[in-house]
Amino acid sequence: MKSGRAAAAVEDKPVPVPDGILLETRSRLLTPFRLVVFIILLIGTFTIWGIWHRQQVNAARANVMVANEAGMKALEEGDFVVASRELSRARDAVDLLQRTDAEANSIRRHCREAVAGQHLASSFEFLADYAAQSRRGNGRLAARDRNTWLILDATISNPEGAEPAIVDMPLQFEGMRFRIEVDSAIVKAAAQHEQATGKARVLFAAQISEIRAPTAGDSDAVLVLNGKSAFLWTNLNTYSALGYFEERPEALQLTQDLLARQLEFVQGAP
Amino acid sequence: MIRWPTVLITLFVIGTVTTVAGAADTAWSVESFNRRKPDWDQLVGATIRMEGRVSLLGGGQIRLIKCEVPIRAPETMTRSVRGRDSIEVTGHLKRDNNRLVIEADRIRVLPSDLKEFDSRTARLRMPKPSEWYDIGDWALERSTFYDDEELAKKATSAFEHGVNIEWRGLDAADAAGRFELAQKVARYNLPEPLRMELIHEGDRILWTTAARTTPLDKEVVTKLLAKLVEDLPGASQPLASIKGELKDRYDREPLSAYRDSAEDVRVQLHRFFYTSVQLTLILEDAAKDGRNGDEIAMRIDMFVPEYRKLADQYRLQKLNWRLKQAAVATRPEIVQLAAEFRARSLPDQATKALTRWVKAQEPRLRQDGALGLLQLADEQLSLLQDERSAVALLVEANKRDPTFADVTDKLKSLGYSNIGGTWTRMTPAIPLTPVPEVNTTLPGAVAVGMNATAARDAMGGDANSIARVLTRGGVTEVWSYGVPGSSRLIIRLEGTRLTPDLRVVEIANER
Repeated sequence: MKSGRAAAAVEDKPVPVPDGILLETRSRLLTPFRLVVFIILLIGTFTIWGIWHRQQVNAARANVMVANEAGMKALEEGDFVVASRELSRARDAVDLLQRTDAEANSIRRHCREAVAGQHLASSFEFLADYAAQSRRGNGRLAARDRNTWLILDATISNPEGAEPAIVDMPLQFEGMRFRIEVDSAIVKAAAQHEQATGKARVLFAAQISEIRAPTAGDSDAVLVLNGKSAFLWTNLNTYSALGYFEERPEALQLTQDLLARQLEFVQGAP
Repeated sequence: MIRWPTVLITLFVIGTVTTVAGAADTAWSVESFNRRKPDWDQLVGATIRMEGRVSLLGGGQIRLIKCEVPIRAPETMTRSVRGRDSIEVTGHLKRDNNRLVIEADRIRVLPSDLKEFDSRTARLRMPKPSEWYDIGDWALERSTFYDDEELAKKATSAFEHGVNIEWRGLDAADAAGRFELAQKVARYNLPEPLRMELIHEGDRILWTTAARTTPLDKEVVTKLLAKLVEDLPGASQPLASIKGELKDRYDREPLSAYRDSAEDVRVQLHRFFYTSVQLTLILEDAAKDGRNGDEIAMRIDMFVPEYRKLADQYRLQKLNWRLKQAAVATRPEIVQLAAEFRARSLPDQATKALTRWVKAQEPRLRQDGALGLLQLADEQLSLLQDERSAVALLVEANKRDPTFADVTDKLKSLGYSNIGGTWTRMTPAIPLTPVPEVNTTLPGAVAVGMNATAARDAMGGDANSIARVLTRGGVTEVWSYGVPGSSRLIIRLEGTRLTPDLRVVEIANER
């Protein structure tokens, strides 16, 4: 009896716990079961993605011809809304197919021109508005005009050097002088290339970015175009459809020659 | 009464005996024997038959290539094997000092694999493709196991024979059969040119079938073009030009020209094929009267730029169509048309276009009386430089309304005077607006409201720098006269979409 009590006493005695050791430990994050579930999910995800991607590629192959034809037809008819939509589809398709052949590049070029043509700035009046507002002390570029496109056919004043290209187009609205600048390597390079023919004339499109107010050191307001959006124009038909008109054959020929050189330049660019 | 248990047992015994007999008929290859390695211990004591290539021989032992179990045989048997390539051994598998060994009871010399191949092929009479493929499979398996290049070549030749027989047996219009055969060529690792020849022939069949359809099924041809780009390398890569002897031969006999061509030449043939299909598709849409010549030309330039001259012919067709429509054209359209004819060195066509247009305006303008006649005279002068006709119209206008000062002023500006009721030329013509000297600091005779031609004339020529901006509203041009950095004369012109004729809207000095 006595010995039984003694045994119970031994059992009741608390187990010594060393300091700093937790009695409860958290369960492991990575168990074999979780690992298997994770791998199955991973494989499933990749399989679904693979099937989806293959479907996209097949659809893209079918889309290229149809969308391109529809886009080019719309472009010919001067319908830039349809042209932009269809050529964007064709461009997405050739991008997905990672095509870099002549046809694919031509689609990309026409697409850029159609998109720019669709989202052209409504008019040049926004500069007059800015000048009028500036006189009242609150000159700012309206949101509706930001990121719209301008197509410029002009000489670049500073084809050499690393600073942004300055378009030789002196403008004056409401007594305020404006200068146009675009920080674009392709515009600069094309201007340098054109200088060999006598004039650094470049025909390009770019989105409107901002208007910088005149400062103490610079009395001109600066219309800044988004250099990243800038690209060289290459197609006379789209240029004409957007309003270019020239009745003098020699001037028309000069523009045609410029566009042909720009096309060669773009095709030769890396 | 049938006793089913007895029947079933009898059938089982017969089946088992037949199977064993069948197995005994066929010797194992070393490869088959190796595959059974996990069962070797259970095979100890059993009689096995195995064939293989001799690797080592001597000391009462024979080694087969890639067989780790040695064969023990008496000298009398090994002597007959000396100098031979392949043998068949019948014997017992034994364990000797804890190592497995085959104790040979009988050894038979076999022909070498190459001889066996020749013998198998010689036995073929009017062979079917499958028989060649079977021999090829056998030779390929053996050559792979023994790393035997010579036998591998034999396997390839067997597959080629099979493919060629199958190819000859295909219907002339069976494109799908050729594509399937091309897949087989790839599976058997046969030469790539053979595969390409099959694919090319299949694609040609598809094209011949599509081209026969009247009218051309554009959807089918469009799909075929996409397939050609996928199947035939270089099909979408434009060439410097598409003509010459190679092109002529390919047009005459595409299949044999393709067969005889090296891989680099075939790339050109792929392009020839693609361009001919693409061109057919494009020209299917060409209107006979040339009304869509520009669209056709644009598609030619885009998809088959090698045919630039053809594209130009279609552009010219479009110009000639526009010439036929001259009577209903707008003024800017006809001026543009004339400019395009002149740009092509076709001044007669340009004059014809302008003359037709002016004549078409005449009935309507005559109804407007003196004002209409004045306008018609202006068109005669500005578009056709036809002073004689212009003066006749002005004289007629003057008769209709002698009080209309614009008409008399115009006649006077042309050097005519009214003497006794008859307009007679007295002095050389003088312009209504004198051309000013070019002044880079002050605006000369140029004025707000002038059109581009008048402004240019007023300034005595083109500006040193012209900048143009296109917006949705229209065109803005800035002409700068003078050297950059100096106080240049700046003329701003604007034109809208509705009235594209540019007009001067501002004249100023730069600084």
